[in-house]
Amino acid sequence: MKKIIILSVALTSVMALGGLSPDLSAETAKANYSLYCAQCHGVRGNGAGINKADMPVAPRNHTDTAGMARLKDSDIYNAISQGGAAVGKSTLMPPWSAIMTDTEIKEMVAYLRELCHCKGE
Amino acid sequence: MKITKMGLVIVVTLYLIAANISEAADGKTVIEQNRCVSCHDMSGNVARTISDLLNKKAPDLFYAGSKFQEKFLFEFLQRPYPIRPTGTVYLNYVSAGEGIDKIQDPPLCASKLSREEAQVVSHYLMTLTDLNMPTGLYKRGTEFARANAKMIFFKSGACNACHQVDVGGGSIKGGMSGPILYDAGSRLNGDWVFNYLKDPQHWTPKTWMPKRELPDNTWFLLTNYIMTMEKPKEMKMTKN
Repeated sequence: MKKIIILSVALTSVMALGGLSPDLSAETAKANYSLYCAQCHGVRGNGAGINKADMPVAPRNHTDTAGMARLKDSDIYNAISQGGAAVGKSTLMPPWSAIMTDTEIKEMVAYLRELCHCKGE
Repeated sequence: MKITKMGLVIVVTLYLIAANISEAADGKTVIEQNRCVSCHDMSGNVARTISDLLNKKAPDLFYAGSKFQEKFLFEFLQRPYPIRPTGTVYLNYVSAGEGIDKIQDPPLCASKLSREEAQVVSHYLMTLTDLNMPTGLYKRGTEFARANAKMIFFKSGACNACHQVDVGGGSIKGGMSGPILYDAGSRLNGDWVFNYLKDPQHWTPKTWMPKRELPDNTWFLLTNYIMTMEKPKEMKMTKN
């Protein structure tokens, strides 16, 4: 009987989990970069992420001042929001609009400008 | 006393239910004795901030019964193997590198249960389910457009950018930040794969897996393809 009670309590607690629903506050651009971007673009943003080895297209080096300066802020925003394909780049870059808010993506664009020490055209 | 067939069926059914309940309760005891909760969350405390995520030592198990196949749990609990090449949270095991970032070998699950313990624990874990998850969606053996599924997996979805898969000839390739997928068909529950692909953040709000808005038939294609992935006997691993 004791075991049945223990299990009932366990099952009840699991049932209570049924309504998982993210209720999340915004993160800083640096924190978002480390979680979502660093896996491909590297922890320093130099394109040296751990997923790079088997990729047919190398992840962009966000510390490349000249290369990043050629990009408009709107292109960077769209690439983050809608993915690489939306701006004529690789599908390896996924869309993040379902995860990051509009404000977070704008802050990410600003953070990338810090990494590259550059401004867009 | 005359025992009817119906009566016998009821008695046997009640006995089996009682045996199952007892076994699951025993599994909970083994889990407590082995302090599994020191690494795994089994109460539904998901990480809702990146800071909280970094404190996760092992995958959440409070929906293990929705996620896994019992046979996998039974075998894994006796002989654990690395499923996440860069640990539960990759950021905890990665540091800056020149050509490519460095990966520090993450710890392997410490579980080395006996056959008997693994049986009761796996049975208990299968009782931990997400009751809101739609089920009965995936049916093993369903015919699907494999070529289309591969195109989505490797091209438009680029799933292999983060997950290791068998690319043929026993060669394993792919990214390191996500769990391996070359054993997915024998590890995961197809219904969970479908639901997870649709909304990864439902179970792990701060997962680094992207979320895409795609029609269900695309997720069914991917689910069917992923569930055909079985662990190859001989593997040639790539490692950064």
